Amino acid sequence: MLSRLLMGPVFLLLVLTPSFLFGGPPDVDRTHRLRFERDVLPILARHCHECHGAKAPKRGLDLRGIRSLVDGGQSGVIAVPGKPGQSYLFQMVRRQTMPPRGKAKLSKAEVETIRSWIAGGMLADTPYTIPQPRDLVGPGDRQHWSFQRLSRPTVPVVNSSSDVVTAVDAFVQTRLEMAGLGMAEPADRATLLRRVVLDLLGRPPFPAEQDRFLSDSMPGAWQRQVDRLLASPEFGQRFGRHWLDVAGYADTVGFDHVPTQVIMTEGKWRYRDYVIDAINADHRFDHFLHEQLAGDELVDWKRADHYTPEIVRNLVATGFMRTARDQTHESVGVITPNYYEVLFETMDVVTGGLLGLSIKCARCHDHKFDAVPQQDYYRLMATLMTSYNPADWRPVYRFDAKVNERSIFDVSKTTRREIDDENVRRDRAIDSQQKRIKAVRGTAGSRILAVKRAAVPEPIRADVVAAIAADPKNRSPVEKYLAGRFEKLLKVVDAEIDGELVAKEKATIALAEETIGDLQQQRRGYGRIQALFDVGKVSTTFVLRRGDFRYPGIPVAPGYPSVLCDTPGQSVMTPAKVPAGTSGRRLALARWLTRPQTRASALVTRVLVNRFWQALFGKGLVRTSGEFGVQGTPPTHPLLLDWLAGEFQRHDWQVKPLLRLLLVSRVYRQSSRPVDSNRARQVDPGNRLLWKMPLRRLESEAVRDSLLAVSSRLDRSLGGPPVPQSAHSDGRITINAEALKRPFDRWRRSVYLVTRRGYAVTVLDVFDQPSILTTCSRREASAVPLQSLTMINGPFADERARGLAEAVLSGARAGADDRFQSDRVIQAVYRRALCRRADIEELRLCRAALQAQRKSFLAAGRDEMQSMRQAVVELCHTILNTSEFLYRE
Amino acid sequence: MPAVPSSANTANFSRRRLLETSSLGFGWLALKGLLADENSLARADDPSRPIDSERRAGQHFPAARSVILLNMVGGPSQVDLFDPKPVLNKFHGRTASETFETLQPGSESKTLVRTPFSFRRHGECGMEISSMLPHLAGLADEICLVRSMFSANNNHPQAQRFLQSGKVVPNWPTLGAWVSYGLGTENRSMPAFVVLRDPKGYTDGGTNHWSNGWLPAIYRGTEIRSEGDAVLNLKPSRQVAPEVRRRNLALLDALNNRRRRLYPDDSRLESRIRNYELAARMQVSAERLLDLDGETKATRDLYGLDNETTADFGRRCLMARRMVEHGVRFVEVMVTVANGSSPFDSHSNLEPGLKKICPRVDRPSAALIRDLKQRGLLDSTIVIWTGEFGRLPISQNGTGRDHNRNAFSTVICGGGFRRGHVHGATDEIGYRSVDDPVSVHDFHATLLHQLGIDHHRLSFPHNGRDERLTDPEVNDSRVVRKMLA
Repeated sequence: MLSRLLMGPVFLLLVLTPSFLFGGPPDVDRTHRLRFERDVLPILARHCHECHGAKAPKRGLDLRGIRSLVDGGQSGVIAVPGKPGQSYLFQMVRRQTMPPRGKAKLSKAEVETIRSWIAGGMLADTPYTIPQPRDLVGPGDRQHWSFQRLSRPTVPVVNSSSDVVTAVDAFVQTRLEMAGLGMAEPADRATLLRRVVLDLLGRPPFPAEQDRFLSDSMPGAWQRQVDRLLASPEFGQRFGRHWLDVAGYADTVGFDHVPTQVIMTEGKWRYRDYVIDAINADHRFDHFLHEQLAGDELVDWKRADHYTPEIVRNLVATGFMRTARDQTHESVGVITPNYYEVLFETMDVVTGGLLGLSIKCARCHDHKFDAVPQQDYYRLMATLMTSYNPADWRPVYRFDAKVNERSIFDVSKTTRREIDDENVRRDRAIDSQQKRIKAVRGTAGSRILAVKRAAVPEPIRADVVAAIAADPKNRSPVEKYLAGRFEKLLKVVDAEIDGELVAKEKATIALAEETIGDLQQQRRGYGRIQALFDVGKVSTTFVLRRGDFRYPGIPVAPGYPSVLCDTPGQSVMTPAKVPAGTSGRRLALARWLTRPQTRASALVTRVLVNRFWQALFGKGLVRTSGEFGVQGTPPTHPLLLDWLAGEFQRHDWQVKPLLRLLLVSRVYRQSSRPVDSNRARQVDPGNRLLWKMPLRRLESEAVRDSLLAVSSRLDRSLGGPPVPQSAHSDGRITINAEALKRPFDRWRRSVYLVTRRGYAVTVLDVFDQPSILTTCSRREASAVPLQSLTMINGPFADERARGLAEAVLSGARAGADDRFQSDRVIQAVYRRALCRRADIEELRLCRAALQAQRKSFLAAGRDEMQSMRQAVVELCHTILNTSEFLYRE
Repeated sequence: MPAVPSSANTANFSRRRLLETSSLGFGWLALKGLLADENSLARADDPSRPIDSERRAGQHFPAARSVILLNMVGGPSQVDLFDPKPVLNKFHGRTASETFETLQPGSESKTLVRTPFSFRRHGECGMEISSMLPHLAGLADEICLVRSMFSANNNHPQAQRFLQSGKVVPNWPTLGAWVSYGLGTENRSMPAFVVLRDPKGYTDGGTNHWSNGWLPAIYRGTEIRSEGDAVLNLKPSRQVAPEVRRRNLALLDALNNRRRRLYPDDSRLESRIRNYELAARMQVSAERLLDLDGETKATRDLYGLDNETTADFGRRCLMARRMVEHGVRFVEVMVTVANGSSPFDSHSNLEPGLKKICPRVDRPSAALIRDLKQRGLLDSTIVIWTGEFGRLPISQNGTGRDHNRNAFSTVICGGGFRRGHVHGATDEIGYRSVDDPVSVHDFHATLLHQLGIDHHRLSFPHNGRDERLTDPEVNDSRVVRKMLA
């Protein structure tokens, strides 16, 4: 990139109408305004011409004339008429970066002359034209496949039509036929069901679900099954997690590196729920992106009297932009380098997550491989700098009462005041009701006391009362004696009062208590939203040399990566029209990303569609699902990818129709173990052409959720704060049972467990729960001995084996040891855990084990029933340990 | 070759007996696995490893095979332990003119302070080492003392991460993860990267010290505890009779094997079966590694196992030796912790503090080196004794020294490093490394070089970039040949 700029910058001159000409004949009205030759040139001659005027001007910048000045140098344009803030020339002299060390600096008056000359429109006697922004990338850079607009491939015609049910099949079959291969035979229905339920819901199908599908022999059974699953709320919990990976979502704040210390911000989890809800509702994906990048600019929340649900949803959605590891959660973290880290990490989420481009290299220098010049990086970053504003930083966390934190209430100021006022009124009402109760009880109490006092001999009665009333610390010896003797006697306890109350008093109290209960029920509160919104004054964004904020380079205006634009002019951002108080930059970016028929939206949809493919097939059509640049791998089926992306846009960017398209295809339904695959294994060992369904290990969440599901414990409820965890001194991390709101929260789906950067509960951790720094495009699926140890020895798998045994035995007759009975148990275990029937050999193996285990337990002194139960537990534990349970076929 | 005898019949017999009679009933699987590869123990890489081997090494002659990192978290004071400064002694109490980079308040007066300890020449090489470390000093002719180390950050978590991963940010792969990625494992019954920490608690930074970062999870350091259960979930969470256990595993093995046959091409199912076997072997070997009863009285005395002061660190150093004997690639031994803080972090009470911690680690550290040497393992093992940074020559609040990232000392021993050698020097007061300074990245490059790995070529693709431990283009890191024999 750099070499290209050095060798031949291409200047495109604007064809100017006279009104755009600066200079020209002196205008009488403007004679008082500063002019280049008269006012500015002498200053430049004095301070700058030594380096920027000689035969070989430094950095290609010649300041001897207005024409060469506006042309700029290697660092680009140095002066923009009317905009000193965006003019490098002014910034350099103002900051005294230029003239360099050792040379005399410009006086304040000289700096001011330059500023007002630029602000006044850069008048000059010599006519000159402003060069159009130069193209930062070459035409060849735009040739890369993923930067092209979507092609509109026609669905190919295929010979073996029996294997072609949908268009997807036609694309896949064509490539297979070219290689002399074909698809595998369809998988059997039980395998298929387990596959699709694991893929869409992240757990195996329950027995009832199996019955329903397997007994549906009518045509269209598969389509109906797919529709049922896509309509299930669990679909959002599963696919929402895929998107949370892209967003790099974590419940915690900062680096989160101490195992035992979990720092969270109020309400951050609402973003997680927003994602799950949006996916369940099949919210248009382009709108989904708009809300996440700029929800705050889509609604006029700042001036709303009351927040509508729509306002709240849009504000919550911006949580997507709040996932960076913001370290400004404690006073020592509130420092400038940390502000820029947040900006850089958010850039990674936006570029890596949405564009599939890792361009973080361009932070410090022009990207070596992809055509992303450093200027483009900072033009894009300018979009974020109105909200992550280093000049007006909001710490992420309220570590101190004075901090103006980066979160907002989930109700408007007016509503908040109303709620506060209501609550004050309510508290007063409660207070008066409590006083009434106290008074009634007091009356009853004094009646009892009167009777008790009467029992004290009259001569000392007054002294006794006085002694008891006195402060125990200051009692005289006599008082102490009296109090000691009579205090207990004269004490009225609540139970006595309860007995003393007459019917009328009881009714009064009951009424008051009821009123209090009602009042407390009506009590309203409000929470917080971890949102992103513009703060402070919009300041100029600079290219940071070596990515270091201490060394700002040329100023840049907000814009888009040049390589995704056809002309340099298109890469300049025009802020979106938005409510007052926000810049409209993020909304402009969001719309630019999704505008049909553009290079940008083509890339965005390709990246998205590829992720959906990956979610079903394990690997994307582009294997490097997070890298669509030159460094990534090209798609295995480029036409199919573009066709799917086009379908996605045509179907209003809705995910469910797209998934349905893939799921009903013959490709998806093919077996993972073809009967005859010798040739295919030789020609295409990596299965790039899809001659079989790949075998996949379950992701961490699916492992845990499946263990809970097969033992009938999975809590499938939606939403709410994260389930807390605790880190133990021996290195285990478990759910914190003591801090649970409801005891069965321990069985919630894994997406609701507290999400941390590096510390997940052990069972998730060993199965490769990722520690996401910025964005995660693909999960690892390792096989390490710790997984085996966790499954075979760990308490969680053990507890789930018991659960599975209970579920299986709850319908079985106890104590029967006939072969029929144990076969029924074995088949029930297979059905729940593996969704199929055990074959004869498996049955034989399991039956033998069951009988032998039972005998061992009997011999150890357990009774018949206990022995049978324990033997079944052992069998369940073994089945949960099989590879088959951990893989989806 | 791992030191486990692989051909002697007696050894086979006794191991077999052990496995068969293992009280945990896990032995059956372990035995099955062992019988299959009893004679092919050496260099058995995990077949499931999905990484293309090109990126892994670019290997040349391997001088060393394993590494033991004795991690002295906290920032040991170089001017009090390894780096004598007569000028500092001479100007004790005077105000320094230099500007010092500090972390905490308390050093504003810039008062130079001499060391309370004496330095003496040791060995034939005449290396000067403080009276606080008499046992390490006794090995002067064995070790390479680098006095010119420097770091990039002045605070513990960041500097520790920098020392371990070459980055100050968390969640990047650490040295042990890189080494096990680059060289694979050399044993079939223990993980390649093992961590021995004080059972009393974590040091600052928690498990970040042995993170695999974004390398596959298989390269993460496995914590082996020196007390209680050696490995997380190594023992069943409930009591199971051995025969019950054995039947479960036999059934599991039979079912898994049946299923595996349906996927003849897929190595993952095979490796999952092997994992159960490795898990079973780990159970047996971790037990054996933990069982120090077989060590002679002389060895126990050497490490100071029966002395309260040295018992904790000594025990873990001895375990480290046994791991290396067993073919473990990278062992990290964390310093003994004290009241949840790092004992070498001498912000105050420097003299009593060092008098307390040095005896705890000095004898065991030296014992480890001597023991490796007498067993002929020192040539193939690199032992490193280091903290993350050093300390300032000026006083902090009268009794301590603040952090100093600009200079610290590291001891490296064995594995083809020069013996009896002092590399580099700091300025007159020990504030800054000036002669032959060695950056952490240089240190990494040199270490990898001695393990037969070209640091330019050991890489892993991450987010669109081939990442390397030393990132040579950015950090200008190089192999420090002067440190090598």
